[in-house]
Amino acid sequence: MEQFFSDDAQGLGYGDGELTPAQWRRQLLAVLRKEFRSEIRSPHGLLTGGLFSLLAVVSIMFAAYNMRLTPTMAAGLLWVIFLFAGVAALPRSFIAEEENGTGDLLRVTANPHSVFWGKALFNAALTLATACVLTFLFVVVMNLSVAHLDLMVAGLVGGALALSGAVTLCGALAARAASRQALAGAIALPLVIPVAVWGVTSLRVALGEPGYDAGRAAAIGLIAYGIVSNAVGPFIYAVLWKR
Amino acid sequence: METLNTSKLTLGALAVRLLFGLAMSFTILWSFGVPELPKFQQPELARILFWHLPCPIIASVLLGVGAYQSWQYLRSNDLKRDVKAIAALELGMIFSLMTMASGIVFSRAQWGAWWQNDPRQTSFLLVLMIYFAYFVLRGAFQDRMRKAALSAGYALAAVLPAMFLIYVFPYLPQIKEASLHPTGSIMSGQIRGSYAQALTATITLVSLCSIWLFRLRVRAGELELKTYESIGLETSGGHSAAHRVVRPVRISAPGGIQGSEGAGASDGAGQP
Repeated sequence: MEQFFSDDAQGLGYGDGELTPAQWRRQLLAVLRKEFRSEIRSPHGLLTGGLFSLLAVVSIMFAAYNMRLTPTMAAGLLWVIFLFAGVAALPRSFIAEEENGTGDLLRVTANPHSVFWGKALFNAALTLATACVLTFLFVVVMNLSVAHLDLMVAGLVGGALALSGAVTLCGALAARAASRQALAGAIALPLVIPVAVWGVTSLRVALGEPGYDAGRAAAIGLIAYGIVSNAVGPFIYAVLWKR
Repeated sequence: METLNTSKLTLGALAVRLLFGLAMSFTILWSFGVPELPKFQQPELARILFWHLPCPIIASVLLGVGAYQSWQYLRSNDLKRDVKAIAALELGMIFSLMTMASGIVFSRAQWGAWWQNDPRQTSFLLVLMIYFAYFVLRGAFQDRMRKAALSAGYALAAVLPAMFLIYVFPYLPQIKEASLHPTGSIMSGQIRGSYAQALTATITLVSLCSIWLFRLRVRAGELELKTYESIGLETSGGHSAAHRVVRPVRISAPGGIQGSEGAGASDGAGQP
């Protein structure tokens, strides 16, 4: 981040004017690097998402004591955890900028598209890491079997992309409100329900439910939703970010 | 300032309203006179279809109108576009609430429970949640321009999930099988005879009614905008008007302005 703001020697480009593809890529990587460094310094998002997910799994272990979960139930429960962990942790990336007073600095120096993409990619990576650990834990603890690993991986990657795109945008919208964290979660949830619908379908097939074609279609739907939400998000953000 | 006279109606406008009122009264009476459907649990409640079905159709259209007006607002920064977006989304929420209310009554009568956990009931509830979320976001900001811009962004972001919930999810094969709701009954010609005629009439009239309500709400919103502008709370751009405020200042400290009552006395006089 220090390099990012120090000078334009690396050809990063300043402000929200036209950037060359190389400048855009460098700005995006700078924002992404800055997000990772911030997370390493104070792992708020990882801790929030991880702790929430872990507690949810432990709660389900208690509730489902001596029960064998069906693939549909397991997929449903797992996706409910993903959703709530996502909306609790992901809006943080934009909200933190406003709380720390660095939002204005970012608005002056960077391009909105690269800022959004950098933050959304970071959020996708965070969600994917949390989802992988959580799914592994859930499968082991609940004694589930994985019938189609490809579907599970495709569903998790697509789900992480789709969740990050929608929730990052909601975080950006709510970042300057009074009760920003709760507001971001409340407005993000209705937008990510379709993600959960596809996610549950692909995961339950991955866990052994019949209907491979439906599962594959759902995984493709998730990836498509992820691509669309990440493609549309920067444009909406670019229109709004200085208002 | 432009004067708005709402008390005088032209003869033509009065005739249109009278005609609309008569048509609506006739359609209401007609919808109650259509024969019962014996295959329903309560045959007389089949008629709820006439008033239930137009509501989700109009709510879906209004969601699209709201998103379009929001997009136009973001392009033009014209607060009148924002007023139109609010009008569309407020009305859309009302029609969604009516959809849910009539659906719940029908669910109880036909399927024996207020809430069947039917996928299509749930998907429409989520559409309603999107409407609620829009207004929650709107209520979170004080500044009119920021409120308008951010909620417009949300309305645009909500288009994709709303389209999925309205046009894709109900038509998925597994949902069609699981749902108690009939799917595509109009398009496949399952509604025929007097039911088709009455349904056409109600859809047309409720649509006209929603257009009328939309225009009324837009007029009310535009009046509100003009009121704000006329009393100087906001300019046409929506920002606070920067009026000069002159206050009398008395500075009694040694070396300060002695006995100055008006702002004019402070213009450099008595400065140390």
